[in-house]
Amino acid sequence: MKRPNSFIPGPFIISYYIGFILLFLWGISESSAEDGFKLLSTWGKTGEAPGQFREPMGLAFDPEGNLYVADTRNARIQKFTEKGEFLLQFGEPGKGPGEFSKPVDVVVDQTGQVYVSDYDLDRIQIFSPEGKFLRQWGKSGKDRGHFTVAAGLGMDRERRRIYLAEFYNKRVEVYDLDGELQFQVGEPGRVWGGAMNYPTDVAVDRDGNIYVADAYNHRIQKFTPKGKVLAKWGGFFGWGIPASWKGWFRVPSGIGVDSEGRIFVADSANHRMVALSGNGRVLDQWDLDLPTELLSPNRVAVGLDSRIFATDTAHDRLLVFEFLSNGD
Amino acid sequence: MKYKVFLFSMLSTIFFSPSPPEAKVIAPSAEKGENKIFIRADGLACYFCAYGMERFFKQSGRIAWYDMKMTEGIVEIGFIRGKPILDIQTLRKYVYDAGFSPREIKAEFVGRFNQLNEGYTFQITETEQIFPVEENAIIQQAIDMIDREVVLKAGTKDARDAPFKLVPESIDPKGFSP
Repeated sequence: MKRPNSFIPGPFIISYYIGFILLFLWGISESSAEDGFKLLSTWGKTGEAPGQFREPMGLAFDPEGNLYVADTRNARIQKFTEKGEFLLQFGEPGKGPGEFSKPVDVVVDQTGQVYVSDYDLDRIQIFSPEGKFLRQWGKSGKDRGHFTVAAGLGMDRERRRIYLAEFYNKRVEVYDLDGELQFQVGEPGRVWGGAMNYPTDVAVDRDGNIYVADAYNHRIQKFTPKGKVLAKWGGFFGWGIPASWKGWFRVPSGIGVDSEGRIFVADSANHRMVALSGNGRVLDQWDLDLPTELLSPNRVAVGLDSRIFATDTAHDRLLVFEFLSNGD
Repeated sequence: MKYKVFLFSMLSTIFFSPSPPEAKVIAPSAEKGENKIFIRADGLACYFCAYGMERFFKQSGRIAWYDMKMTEGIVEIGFIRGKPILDIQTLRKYVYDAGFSPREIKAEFVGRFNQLNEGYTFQITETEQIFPVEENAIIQQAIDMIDREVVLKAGTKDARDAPFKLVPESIDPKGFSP
């Protein structure tokens, strides 16, 4: 009598089932996570009146907690209290002093002076807290100390430095607050740490470490205060292919850091917000979770009260979050 | 319970995948008699890219407005009435200079067909600008529209000498002149 063969699964089938179980467990842990972004409110709507926006891009807090927003298509900067009450606006379309073509980012120094980068005009304009034009600097070009589109700004108040993410020159240049070039961070490239491909934003933590939204390398890079590469997170999943999975980015365009060193990223082409720990571990990722509407996050700023603000550029509004950690 | 939440989220992802946001119109609504160019570019994924192209195009001094549909990778450009349309080489150069690759360029022009011995041409209203037109089935509709103002929607082809050649796709006989 012939004995029937007993079934012995091959290594491929075993791997398949183990993978499936891991995926299942990962899904459970994800859906039971309790820490992360919580949307508190949205500010603004489409328009030209005070408190309304057309393509809001950059945003920054002053030392008193007031919020400045680069209202890009309206060619102006708006200033709000931390509660969202409109305070003032400045700028109008034009190329003269105090005028804007396309203001795309804003930062504020320790004295409350406001620095605005203009996408079209390759200059940084500086304003008083009341919106009075004070001075400007910037030269268009590719050489050091020149820039072609300062797409994003970062401010280190302690070291009195301003960081320019140069979109077309594919690097970050570091200036003092008078516009004197100090040094360069990164250089054009695609793969290695320090290589940059159309960077769009810069943030600085309290230790002076520099974080760059390296948008078209689809990654975040971290540098020492002197510009030495420390880490890179994300990147290309395959040859020239970005990814949407957890820990990957697609055109991360905005970045902010809170006082605890957590990093918040506007992962724009993945239509979501991402929170990272200081060592790059994904803490949470958040999207609108609506079937008819996708998030269009572009920039991030963290308020004195640790609320996180992001511009939702395509929807002409700001999103206001708090970030809950385990135990909060 | 956790399993149900997970299962629900998986099914929601599959069945209710969000559609991309409609790009809002940032340009004034198209005026009558406007000439428009539509460019589909590879790699156009964010405002910074779209602004880059806008910056290059506006340097030409011929652009009335500029619109972008980022999720579709399309840029729409309205030309100032009475000003010449940019030639295809310049259009392409601006897209390349902004860091992207032009995949397709289409046109919507207001003007009049002319019939010459060699074929048809299309003259843009209020300019001296004349484009050669490739003959196809659509162009046959234009035979009784010679010298009438029409709106022509067309693809484009490289011509050896600028301006580029128009490949008619539709003709709206309701011109704007009385």
